[in-house]
Amino acid sequence: MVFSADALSSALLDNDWTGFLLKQGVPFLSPEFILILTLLLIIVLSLFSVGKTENKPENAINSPVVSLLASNSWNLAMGGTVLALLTVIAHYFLFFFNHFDVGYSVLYGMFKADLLSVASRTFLLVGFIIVLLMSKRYVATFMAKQASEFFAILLTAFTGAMFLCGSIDFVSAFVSLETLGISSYLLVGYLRNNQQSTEASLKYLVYGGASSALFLFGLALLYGLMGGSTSLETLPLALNSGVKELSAWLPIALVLVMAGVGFKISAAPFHMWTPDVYEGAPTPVTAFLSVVSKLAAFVFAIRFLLPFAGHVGSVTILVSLLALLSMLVGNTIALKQTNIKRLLAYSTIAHAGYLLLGLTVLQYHSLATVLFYLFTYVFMNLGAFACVLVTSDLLKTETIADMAGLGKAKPMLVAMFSIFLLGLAGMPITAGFFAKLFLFQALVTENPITLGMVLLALVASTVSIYYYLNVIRTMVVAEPSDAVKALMGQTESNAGCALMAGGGTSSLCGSTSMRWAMILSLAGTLLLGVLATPIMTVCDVAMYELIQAGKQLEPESAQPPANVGGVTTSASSTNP
Amino acid sequence: MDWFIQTLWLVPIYPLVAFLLISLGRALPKPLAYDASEGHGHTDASEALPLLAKKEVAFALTSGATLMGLVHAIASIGWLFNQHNGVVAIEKNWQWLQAGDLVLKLGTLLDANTVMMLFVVTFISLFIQIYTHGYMNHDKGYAKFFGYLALFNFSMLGLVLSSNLIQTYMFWELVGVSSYLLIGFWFHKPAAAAASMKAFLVNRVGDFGFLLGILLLLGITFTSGFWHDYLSINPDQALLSFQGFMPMVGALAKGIPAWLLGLIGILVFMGSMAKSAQVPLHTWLPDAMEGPTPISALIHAATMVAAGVYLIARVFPLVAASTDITMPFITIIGVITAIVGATIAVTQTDIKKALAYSTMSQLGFMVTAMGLGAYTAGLFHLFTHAFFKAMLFLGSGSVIHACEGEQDMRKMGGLLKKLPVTGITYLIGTVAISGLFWTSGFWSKDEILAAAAHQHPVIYILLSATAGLTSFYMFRTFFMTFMGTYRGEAHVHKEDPVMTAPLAVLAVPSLLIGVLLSGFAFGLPAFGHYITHGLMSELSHHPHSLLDAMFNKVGNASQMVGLTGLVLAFAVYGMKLINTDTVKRVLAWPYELFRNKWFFDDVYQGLVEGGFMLIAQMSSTFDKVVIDGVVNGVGCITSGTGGLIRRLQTGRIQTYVTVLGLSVLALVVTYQVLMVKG
Repeated sequence: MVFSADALSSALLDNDWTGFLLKQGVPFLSPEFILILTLLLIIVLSLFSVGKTENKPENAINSPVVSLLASNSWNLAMGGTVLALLTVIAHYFLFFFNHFDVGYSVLYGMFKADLLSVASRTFLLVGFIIVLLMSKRYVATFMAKQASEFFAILLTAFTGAMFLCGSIDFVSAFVSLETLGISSYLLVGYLRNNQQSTEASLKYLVYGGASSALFLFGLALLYGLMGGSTSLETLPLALNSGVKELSAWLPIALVLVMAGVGFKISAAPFHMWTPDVYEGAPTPVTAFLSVVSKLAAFVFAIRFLLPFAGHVGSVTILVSLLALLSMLVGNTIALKQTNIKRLLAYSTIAHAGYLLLGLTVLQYHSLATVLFYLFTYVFMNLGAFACVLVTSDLLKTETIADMAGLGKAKPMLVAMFSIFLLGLAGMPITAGFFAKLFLFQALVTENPITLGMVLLALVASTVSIYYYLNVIRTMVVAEPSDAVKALMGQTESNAGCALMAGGGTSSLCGSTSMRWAMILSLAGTLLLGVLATPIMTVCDVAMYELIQAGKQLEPESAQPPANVGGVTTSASSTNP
Repeated sequence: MDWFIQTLWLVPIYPLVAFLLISLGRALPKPLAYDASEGHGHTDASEALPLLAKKEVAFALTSGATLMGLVHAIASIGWLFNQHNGVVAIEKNWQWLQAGDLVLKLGTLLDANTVMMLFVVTFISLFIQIYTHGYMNHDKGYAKFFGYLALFNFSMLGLVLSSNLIQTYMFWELVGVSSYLLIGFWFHKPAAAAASMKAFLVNRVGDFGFLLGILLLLGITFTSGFWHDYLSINPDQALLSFQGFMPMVGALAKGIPAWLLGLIGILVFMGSMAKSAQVPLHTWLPDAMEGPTPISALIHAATMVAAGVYLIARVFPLVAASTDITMPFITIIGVITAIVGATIAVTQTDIKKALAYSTMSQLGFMVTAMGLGAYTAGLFHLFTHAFFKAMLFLGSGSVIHACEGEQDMRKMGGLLKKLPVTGITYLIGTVAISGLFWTSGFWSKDEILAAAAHQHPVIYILLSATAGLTSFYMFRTFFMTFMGTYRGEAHVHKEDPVMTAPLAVLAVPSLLIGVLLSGFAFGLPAFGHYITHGLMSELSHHPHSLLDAMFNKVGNASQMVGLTGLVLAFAVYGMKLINTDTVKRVLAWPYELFRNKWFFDDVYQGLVEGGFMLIAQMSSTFDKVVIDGVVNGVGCITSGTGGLIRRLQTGRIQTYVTVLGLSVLALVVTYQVLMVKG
């Protein structure tokens, strides 16, 4: 182990700054630092530019300065994200070459730099890159004046999500969750002149506030139950020491914490905000919420629930309840949706159900399949939202019925949209199928109860095929709607471009960044499944190491705590 | 020779490469290439295209790939004939995916089944591609069509060669995808787009069962540790390898209740039901005739629809282990399909629809045979049927081509003079499918009938009657199309030799392949000799000698039944001795039933719309009545006054937050209760 405790303390004694930074885990947080620097830079740059634009008349949205500003802040955000992605990728080498198994506690035990956080942050960053690609032209079109502000907030929200992936302390978890949450409320209401957007923002704020309060209350209860510790790593100790005294209050605390997490992952019965917010928010923001927010919250859920494995025996009951409710609510209500964004909202709820199913068995492989599912979901769902973005921009409507006959006008767009929807439906060859196969297979062999749940999930996902296919059928089979006819008229008048054929009044569908967003999502949707082995291996190793790390912390563990290196500093200091 | 056997994995790769090259050619920018070739001074527009985008290249790539596959197929026939003392299957696997214990492998399995299916697919594909060259010559999407054909060949050959059930499922879906692409090839036609979507939807239902069956099978055999032990003895094989099915089923039969084993069999069979158009999942097949006719011949008559039967053959140990659940289920479904298909075919006036229902009926025969345990007979009929049904469809395509797209037989007639080759080959196909005069259909169908007679007289009588009906409706199409006087308006073109040559080639196996492989001719081995010497020999319920005895009795009877059908068709449609309107009037009730396709489509329409919308409506009502009710109730109680007015004025967000609080409360209570219990 390269970063052993001895080496670090000696580094500090020598007044060695590099060593000090190492001890604080700065290298492990380099992606987050890069992101924070980027967002600060964007804010500062926008300050300078505002002075220039203020002299311009109000309606100067098309002025070169404003659009230059917009594209600059986008470029900065993109550059920062790509750089962060590169640094995260560099972290893999630490794990593979240094046998850096159980991870490393950073920021005095607030953040855990282990393979789980590295892997999940990789896919968060890739997902965020797609979101940025989606939002480039959108922002330039609809909110050119506030572009830098938008990207700064988006980056803030994203940084919160990044921190959440590694949070192993209640304090850091709550802070990163709120960083993500509060920025999201702002982002949802970013179309200031749009009533729906503003309303959605308010709803999201009120609902989010309420569930944050519940979450915090749950954490506070746990803090008390755990004998005054806020670290997740002491949870196993607390559980082992006093199960009986805990048993009365623990369920309440668990439910409250899961309410907060359930809100973020939009699991029923904490889902009610989802359709309204998805519908009202600017589509790139919806995509962000449905993927980035969800992935980070799920990683936290895994970290939070894992200590309960083998204890109380009851986390399973709670999680199963949430999973079943989510599958039921998501898949049935989705059947009668007429708005494509609301449909995808209910689809998100249903997917939360499948994913929660994987959390009922707290074993490394089933958790790894959940992680893999999340990674594939990033691409499929972002792709679907990218298509929604282009479609609604072309047709000026989000109603499914108005998309009728789109296949005749834009065959390539419809083909891509179909692939993403089929991926979400779990059709073979797409990554969605493999994700479901791995997840269900991991559960089916576990015990009769999970077998039953998998059967229910299969039935639910068969129902889901109906509403996904209904969208495809509308686009392919039906006679063109008025909106599509109008579009076809435009396309004839001015020659379209190659891939998804722009033309007309649409600025989005012809744009290069939009195209790249779709191509990236498509590549992920098609390749992640058939080439699953390396990523699945990473997920397996990450989860295995996570569980190993947890086991080493338990008191009855044969190994003395001193062997664990950096991790023990936080664990031993808070021994109850 | 041996090289072709060893490199069997190349067989699906050839068409895959062809598909990729053609797609690449279509993606190449055309104007650029046009500029480049301008200097050569060619005036032909196609000359200006880049090499890969040219029609000839697309054709050469696809048919070349198929030809290579055929060479492998012929080599494997040679390999099979050299296996004198029982066939030893050759399995090869390469690791593909790993997720925990779940190791998925891609591989090839070569046994008698594979050889048979490989030959059918490559042989028929090749001639259909030649035919397509003529049929689609003036279509704008020529290259695209051949690209899709290559994609289909890739998936179909991958399916045929699959070494394990999971790989089969993958290719099963890929075959489906290429089938939908080809049904909806003219997707600007609303009917074609709708048909492809319908095929997709109906196949979802079947594949849902199939996947559920696979997962159950995997789940049970995984937990019991069977595969772990089995694969440690046979490390070269894959998970759910077909070769491991016999021991797996043996282990299963001891470990799980009979009903569960039967259920798994039925679930896996659901995949076959959808793909092979078995009642009640047959409704997509007739609609699929909206695709170009070569596709109907290749995919929806000869190869893909037969994949369902092939699947049953592959998992035969599984279905055969459940003699009182799965096997009777399969038999009943098969018999019903045979009858429903044949009766609907009688009323069809569209030549392709009539042939489609005939395909469905014949698939019913094959499935019945599998259900009866007459494994060999079912596969033999699959084999012969592929040749003559492909030929019949190509013949109908030739007729439609000549009549400028007319498909209604009432507007045809007397075409034998103008289309002699088509007419004669169509007649051969008709005789073969009717099982008359020792043509190929005679041998295979009578083996099924013999098995039925051996097993159960009722099934035998039903199947025989259906065979008579087959003869009737097939000769009906022949007389309506080729005899009498021409009734249409369209100018009839001459036959295209590119299209008639494949017909002539396919006529040979249609006539002879049955007798050649019957075991009675030229000292050649019987079809069943190799098939039953394969994996399944212990399971085939009927010793061949017993069937032979039965065969002689049944053969004569079925000839008579077939001839009756022929005579009746001649009387009604050839001589016009009986007026069809009178028949329709007299048999009004059955006629309406058959003409409306036994009302399957209408019932489904109602079920789907009713069922799904009911669920949606229920959950929405629940949302409105219960949730809102509870919320408003709480609101009333807490505020005490003006509950109703408040309800009207509050926005939804109050509701949401109340629900949030209530759900937390409910969860805590439920959780506590469940924990006390648990």
